[in-house]
Amino acid sequence: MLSMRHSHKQCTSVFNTGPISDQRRGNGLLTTAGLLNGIFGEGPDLHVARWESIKVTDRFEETDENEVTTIRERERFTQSLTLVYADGTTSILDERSREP
Amino acid sequence: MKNAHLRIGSLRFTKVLRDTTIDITLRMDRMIAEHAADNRSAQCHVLSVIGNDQEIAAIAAAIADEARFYATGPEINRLMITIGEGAEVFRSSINVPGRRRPLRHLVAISEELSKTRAGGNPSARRTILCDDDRAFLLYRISVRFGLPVLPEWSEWFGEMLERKNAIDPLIGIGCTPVVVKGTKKRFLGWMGHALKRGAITIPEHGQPTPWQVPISFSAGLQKTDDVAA
Repeated sequence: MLSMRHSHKQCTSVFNTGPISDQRRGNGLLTTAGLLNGIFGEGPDLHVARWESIKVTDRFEETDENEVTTIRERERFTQSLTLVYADGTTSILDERSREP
Repeated sequence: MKNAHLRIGSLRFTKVLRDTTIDITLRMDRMIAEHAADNRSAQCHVLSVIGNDQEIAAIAAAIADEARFYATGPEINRLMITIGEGAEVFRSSINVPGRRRPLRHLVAISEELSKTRAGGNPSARRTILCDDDRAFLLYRISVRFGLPVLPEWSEWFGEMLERKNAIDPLIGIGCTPVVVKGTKKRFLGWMGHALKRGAITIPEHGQPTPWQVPISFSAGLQKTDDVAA
């Protein structure tokens, strides 16, 4: 008899109860796939959330000793969250709006 | 469904060369165009034509050359159109039973329309849409700008667009296109005010209803289908 494949063995799943919206590498897939869009909260915190993936361009300027300026531009994707609260408050949260 | 001659238009391309003249007329099942400022020609946003190998190749080359075409349709009387710079062209084959060779199908999209996808040109001031259904308008605008909206707000959004003169009809064959004028900030401001006034609400413990929007270029043939929220 063939042994059971490892992937089919019964195992106990352990779920991490940490905050799922913590910004880490890989969370972008969860957010931009639409899994965190919708209605959340209750009472004064009731809101509709919408995540999106946006492209940003980082611009670097370097000047060497001969006073030649080199401009480098690097494009990358980042996530942005738009919120609308039940009381009419709206906000757009992205890396530019992050507090220092 | 109407008979083909009542809903399909034609696209004519003419080019005079030194020793020959190219004159091609193709069947056109979809078109979206917008009158230019001079009102004599039109900027084309979508073009969908069917023909044989040589005809489609000639049209594709003409689009790359930013050539002018003449469009006629059920309610369009010979309109000069151009699709402009940066157009995207898609080609495929259609196998028809009884024909030895497949038909060729070409779809061309203007640069402006190609940027209406999610995240494309987020600071845009106008959005071209192929249907004037209110749920479709709100759904596509929310996808483009990343707006947090609910399907229940579709009627309110349609009324706001009309009240603020932010929607205009475009010239269409096989569809009812519109142009919606506004930025993400503008639409977000409308939503904030409407929630404050109570014109729209967020359901406290309920799930939003699924979107009921046309999922194809139906033009009223098969009107609605469910789209995952």
